[in-house]
Amino acid sequence: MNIDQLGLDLKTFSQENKNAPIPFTRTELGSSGATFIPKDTKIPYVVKFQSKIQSETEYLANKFYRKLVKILRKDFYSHFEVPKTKLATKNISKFSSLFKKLTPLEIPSESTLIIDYKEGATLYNVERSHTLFSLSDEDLRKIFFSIGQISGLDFYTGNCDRFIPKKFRGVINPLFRINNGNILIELSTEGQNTLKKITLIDNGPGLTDFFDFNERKGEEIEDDTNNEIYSLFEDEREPVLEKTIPETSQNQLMTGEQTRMERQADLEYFLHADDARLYAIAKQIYFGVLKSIEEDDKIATTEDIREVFAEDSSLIDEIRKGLDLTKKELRCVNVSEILDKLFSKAKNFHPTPKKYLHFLNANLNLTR
Amino acid sequence: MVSVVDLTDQMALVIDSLNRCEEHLIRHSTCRILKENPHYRLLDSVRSDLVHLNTEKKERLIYSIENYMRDSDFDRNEELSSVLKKVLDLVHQYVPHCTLLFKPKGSRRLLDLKNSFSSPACRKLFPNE
Repeated sequence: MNIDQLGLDLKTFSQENKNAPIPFTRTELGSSGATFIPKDTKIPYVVKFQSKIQSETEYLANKFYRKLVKILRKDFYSHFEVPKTKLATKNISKFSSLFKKLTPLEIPSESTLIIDYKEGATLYNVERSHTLFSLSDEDLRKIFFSIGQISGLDFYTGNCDRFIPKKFRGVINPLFRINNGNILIELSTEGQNTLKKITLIDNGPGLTDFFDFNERKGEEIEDDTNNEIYSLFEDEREPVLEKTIPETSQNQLMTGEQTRMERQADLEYFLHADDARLYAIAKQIYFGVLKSIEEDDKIATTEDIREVFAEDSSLIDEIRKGLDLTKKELRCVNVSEILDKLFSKAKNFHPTPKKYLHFLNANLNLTR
Repeated sequence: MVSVVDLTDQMALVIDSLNRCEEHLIRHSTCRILKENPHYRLLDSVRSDLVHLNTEKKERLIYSIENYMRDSDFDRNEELSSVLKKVLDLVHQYVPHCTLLFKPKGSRRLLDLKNSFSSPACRKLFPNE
């Protein structure tokens, strides 16, 4: 992907079409920043304006997922894709005024991500259009198995902005719902609704699940991450679950360090889970999916949903199997090389996104 | 006025026509790599956007097809142009919440495009048709 080409395209377009809006449209979904997808099928990029910290964190996360998916066993993970992502040069950022004309809402122009455009519909759109009900049993099973696989990866990266619940310890929360906007489901174009590919998008963790207020605002200058997380994992350690996470009173906000420790405790809970515990996690995720179907599928009635997605459905076991597979895979792969490369790419990044990398690095020890 | 059943049939036919057009392009393309053929690239994107149709994809389809039709420099493929005109007609009738390959409530058998759109649930998708 040559992102300079996008700058060139935008420049040419604005010169040739003086008053015409550029061929992008702002997406309905996505709470962080402003995402624009191309209206012209010849433009293969999505453009995302965010704060520098958000962009750099998402850039690192996307790279990590992209590389990770490639080293997992092809037999089970080759239907996943993660789009290439680039941090835009200043050359492209200067075109933000063209995007501002497309929306009455403010767009942050601090930093720009250029992401490969991928075919498919978000799970949100698949649910909204009632398409889940048109899939074969086999494809439905594949989707729920994939949800389990992706959830396992998200446990590793502490990404609670897709399928996994925060601080789940076996008690089902009926109010939990998944975020169905962060995967794309691509169906075959051969005339039947058959699953072709699943693309993982928006892979950055929710910043509030990871960083405290000062870190998110970039007000903490000193990069002290080496000390904070590594100290948690000694060779002869007890699982984090049995460790004491510093208590905070109800009125006291958690520090970034405490928040990341919570994510790590979630990962340890997952990595030490036996089949029954994995089934409970799967059940929570499954109920989260059901909640999203109930809220977003405007055509299905409650009876339709219960008929296909029963409370004791075998699809829960598909999620469990997906979780179990990723749990085992994570123990077999070595991500240290991926992380080394990311550390070198992040050399000039803000200290906050680097804390995300240190978090991933510390998790290496947990999977071994 | 187009009925629900007619509209769906037309959509099925359009996908069918795109698939046939693809075969023709494959046979006659002079590009060594098919994806370098601009007609093929457009056809492929249009077909995928139709399968995953939503409001954003509707905008993409209209924009790209209208551009293709307007572009006088482009050596237009007549067969493709005629199918794209049909796509445009159909996409203009699209109502949000509906995808092309939609199957109404009930058992989840594989979709049969020819006879799946007469249920009351489906009519909600095309209220004014």
